[in-house]
Amino acid sequence: MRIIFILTAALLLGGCYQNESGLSDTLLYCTENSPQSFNPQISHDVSTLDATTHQLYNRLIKIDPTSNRFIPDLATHWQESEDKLSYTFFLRRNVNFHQTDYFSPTRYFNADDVIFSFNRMLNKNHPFHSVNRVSDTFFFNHPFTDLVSDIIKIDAYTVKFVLDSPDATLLANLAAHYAVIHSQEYAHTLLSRGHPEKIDFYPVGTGPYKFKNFQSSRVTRYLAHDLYWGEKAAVKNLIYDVTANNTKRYTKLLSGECDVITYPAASQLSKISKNTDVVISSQPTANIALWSFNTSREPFDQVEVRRALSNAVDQKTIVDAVFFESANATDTLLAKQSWAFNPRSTHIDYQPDDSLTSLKETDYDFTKKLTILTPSDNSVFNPNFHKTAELIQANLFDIGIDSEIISLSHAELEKHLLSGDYDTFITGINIHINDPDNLFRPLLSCDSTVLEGNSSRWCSPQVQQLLDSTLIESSFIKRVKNYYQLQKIIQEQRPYFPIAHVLRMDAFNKNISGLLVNPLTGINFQNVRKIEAQ
Amino acid sequence: MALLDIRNLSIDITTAQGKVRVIDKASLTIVDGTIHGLVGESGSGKSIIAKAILGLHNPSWTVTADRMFLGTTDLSKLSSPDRRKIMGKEIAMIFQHPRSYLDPSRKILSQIKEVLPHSSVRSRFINIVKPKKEQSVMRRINELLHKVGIQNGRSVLDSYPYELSEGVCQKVMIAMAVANSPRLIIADEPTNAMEAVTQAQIFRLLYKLNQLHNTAILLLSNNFGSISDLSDYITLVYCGQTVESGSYKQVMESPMHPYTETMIKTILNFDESIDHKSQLYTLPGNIPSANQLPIGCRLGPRCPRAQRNCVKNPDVVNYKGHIIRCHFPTLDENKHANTSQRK
Amino acid sequence: MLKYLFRRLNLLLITAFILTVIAFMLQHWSSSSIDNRNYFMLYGDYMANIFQGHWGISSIDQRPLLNKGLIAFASTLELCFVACITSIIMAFPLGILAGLKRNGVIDYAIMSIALVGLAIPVFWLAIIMTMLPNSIGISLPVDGNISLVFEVPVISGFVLIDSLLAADQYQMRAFSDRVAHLVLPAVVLSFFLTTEIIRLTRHAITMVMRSNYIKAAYAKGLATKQIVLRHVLKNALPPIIHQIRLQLSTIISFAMTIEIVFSSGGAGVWLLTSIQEGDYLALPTAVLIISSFILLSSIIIDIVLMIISPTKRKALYADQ
Repeated sequence: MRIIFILTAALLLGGCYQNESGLSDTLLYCTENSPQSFNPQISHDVSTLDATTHQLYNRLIKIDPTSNRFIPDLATHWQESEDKLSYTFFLRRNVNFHQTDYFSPTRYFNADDVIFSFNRMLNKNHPFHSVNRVSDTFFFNHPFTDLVSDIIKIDAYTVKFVLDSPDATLLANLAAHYAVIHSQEYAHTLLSRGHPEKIDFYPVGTGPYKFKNFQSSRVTRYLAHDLYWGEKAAVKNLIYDVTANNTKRYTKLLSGECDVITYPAASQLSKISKNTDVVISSQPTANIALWSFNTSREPFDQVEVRRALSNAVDQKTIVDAVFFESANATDTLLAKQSWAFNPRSTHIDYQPDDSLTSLKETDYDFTKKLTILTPSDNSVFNPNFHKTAELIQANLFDIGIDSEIISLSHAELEKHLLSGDYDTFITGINIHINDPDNLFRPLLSCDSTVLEGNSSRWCSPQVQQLLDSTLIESSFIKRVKNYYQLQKIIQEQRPYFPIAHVLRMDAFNKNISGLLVNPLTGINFQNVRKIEAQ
Repeated sequence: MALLDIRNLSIDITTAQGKVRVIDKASLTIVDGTIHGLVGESGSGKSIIAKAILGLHNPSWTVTADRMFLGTTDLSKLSSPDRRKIMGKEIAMIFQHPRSYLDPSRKILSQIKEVLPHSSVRSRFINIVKPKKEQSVMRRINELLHKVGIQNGRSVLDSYPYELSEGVCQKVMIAMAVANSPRLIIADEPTNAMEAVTQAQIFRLLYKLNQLHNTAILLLSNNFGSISDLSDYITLVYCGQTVESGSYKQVMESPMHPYTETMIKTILNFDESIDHKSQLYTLPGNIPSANQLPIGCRLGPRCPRAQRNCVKNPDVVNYKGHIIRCHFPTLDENKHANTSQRK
Repeated sequence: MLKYLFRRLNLLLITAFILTVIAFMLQHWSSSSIDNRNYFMLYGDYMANIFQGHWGISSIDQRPLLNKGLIAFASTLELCFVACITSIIMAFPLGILAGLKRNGVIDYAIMSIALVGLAIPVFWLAIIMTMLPNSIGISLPVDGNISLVFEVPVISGFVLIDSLLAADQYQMRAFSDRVAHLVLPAVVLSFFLTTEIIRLTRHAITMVMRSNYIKAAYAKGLATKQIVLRHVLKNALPPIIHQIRLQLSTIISFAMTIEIVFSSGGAGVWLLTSIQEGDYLALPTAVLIISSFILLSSIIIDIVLMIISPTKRKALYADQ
């Protein structure tokens, strides 16, 4: 009897519990990791980008999601000089910075802020240059410092960027995730208080959301910026919740503790897609999972060996078993949606018999053990390195090659890579800038080191020349032609075996609308609306 | 007039070896207002008989009897609520090791109060309305304690059982037993755990209760000596069978059953001169264990008069109230004439 | 009575001393200070710090460890408390029923359920309970102490109380949200507690029912219900409480495991993240906090037992 009473009490209490999803002025977003900092200039992990780029900050220009053209953000219009060595930007007026517990702005946004934000990266003597410095280069393989020689303030609302040499990628770089605008006034206040490092952890920007608090590396809270210059955010409270376990994230989505989640478990995608209350958004990214051959080591310096090994691997099985539906199998390095994609590249199919015959022809030493190097933790571009390695190992075994999987953590991995002591390496690359150069340079440039991305130690003068000339080439058609040729060479040479282009998956309740996910710059909550649950 | 009339009570217990008949056609008749001694060695089954009367036996035991009557009430056909009415009110029981039969977590006062007829919920409710009753309850309790001979009543009432000696605990149990003036008190070896002085006190008390209130007492004991001067009637039990029964004078002066003779012989009589370190008299052998009970008369293997006939269960013979179950009883010439066989 | 208390206190001090030595060793080996003085002086310093309340600073967020530990542990205690109450309410009647109707159908049914509780691992049930309610349509929160929407200030450390204190800001929504967050973890923990208590109660009741004074009570003519209420319960309680006291640490460790699955901010999560992130100083703090809690509660339970059970007062009487 008493049991019945208790049960009824519990059920009634359950009715009292209002699902957080029901509150329309709060959005809960569950991610995998907590951001490394709140400044995408120094942190490039996906969590930082998701947390900051579109929410806290604005950039000078941004890319229209539908037309892929550059559109104004904080810069209203811009001009290119005749000699293509300088770009002049005209800045928006009456833009407010965030007012928070720790900072109250006294003026609007102006050119000083632009100069501060970029000089921090350019100028080694800048007081904030080495603050919170994580690595030597600010970003991978396309140093902004080499691109821009100077930034000149023309007047309070005009800024000129002077380039070393003509470079077609400046606009793409200014629209990139890291080109965010900080508040110079805030930086000076921090400096005078003696706490410059706070600039990256107690951020101030101009974006539609402002920073409220950051709790125990699990929870970040944002408030809508009520003085935002553009359309104000419809959702007042934005809460980032770090839940490492991807199954748990999905459970929380179902129980209403999350409205939007990122990277649901790849193995559960088919089940999630059957749930009619949940919408899955998948965005193709340019991120790619690769298997690279160490071309500086025998016998992988022979192109026939590399092509033969490429024939030996069953790519489809790997994609199904490791990625499930979260990636597209690919045969090319460049993603299909890129404007430089060469549709007429040669394919390499899964032909183990052909592989065996080719290998025999090249006098391949079958007695030697082939090493497959993998990182021990998983990454955005590969949810399970070890499984991938095991599948490749099995394929190799079928053609008579014995292989050994070496799984290492970060420090050990670096050592091996630097010393060149590996045959093959399972890796991938994250692309942040919407330009093919951003993909090819780290992978193929002679200047690119192993740690920067060139794990196949590829160096070919022909390829290098193509890369460099296309960089400064301003004719669009010429660039396309160059990249087509580059891809043709690479497809034949096969320094890398592309496995899959990863999709970025997000899942959210169907009462959420207006969610934009940009695979390069992160999630955008600016236009999100939440319909109250009935 | 027979207060308690039991004929051919048999109790079967299912053990691992099969069904064992622990009590075999035992008969017992208690006359109103008398003290009846039930004598038997340890393990002879007298406690089982006592428990069966009250219905306190293990429910898995099979109890059958030709007659089991308390006055006019058939004890074997009582429903639980009816049985509860007679327990404590018409029949009361006191036990061996009285301290363990008192609730260790409650004071004596509350335990005595439980027995009194006022302890039903309704009367407690009425008590709230008319609190004067409380005084009369206390008076009653003090009367009871005085009756059983407890001197310092108030401190006893305020104590827990573990703080009292066995003698005092037994007196308390007797007090609880007589609280409702029962017609029969069953005393299951009440003095085994005490020293001689207290034993004498308890027996004197029981005797007094019997004399003053005409309460019948069924006194179970394992030695003859303790009940000898007390009982009006005696029944002897051996191994689950009642072997001889009769008035005290009949049994003591002219025992017929060989077992009775043995028992009497074991009473130490300090008048006679017994040689230093001479052997005391016993029957040869031991009581048979439950899984090796002899067929027929269970004294058979040890009986000095045993013959082949003894494997058959002897019939009950009644010589003017002196009941015996033996094939070869010691007969007196006088008794021979007036016999009436009873089966 | 006082002598007994004094004896118990002595035991407490000795146990506490040993625990502080263990905690000190943990702290010494996990901190990288190169202090060359001998161990006695270091231990003396450590104990001086303990008594002054300087239990160390967390290396993760630079807050004092004592505060962090107490708040985390308060959350665990909340869970244990709620689970204890619900399980006692559920388990006691079932155990009494099973004990009274020993070897009957009801007894076997109840004991089968109790045995299941012995067999199922804690973390498995916890993980199942994160997913099960959803699949049958009940929507209960599976993560965290309280919804992130409510920012309840930490006043007492017990979120239930704090959410009531924050009523002016959130009305009762924070409180009911906290209760909702407690439901699933408490169900899991009380599942195990219930099975434990059922078994203990059944055993205790059976033992008491076999004792002499219950037979005497029957002989007095009392009905079973009266006997159970008046005599059996009070006598069956001490062994049950005694056994629960021995299981106290198991209950806390179960609670910590459940917390890790449900990510509520209790001691389990705190310790796990501390170890994962290298804040090893949390370990001796946790040792001290948890063990002093268990010691204190042991003593309190002892005192309670002494009060309700007169037989324990005179341990000399070994009559039964």
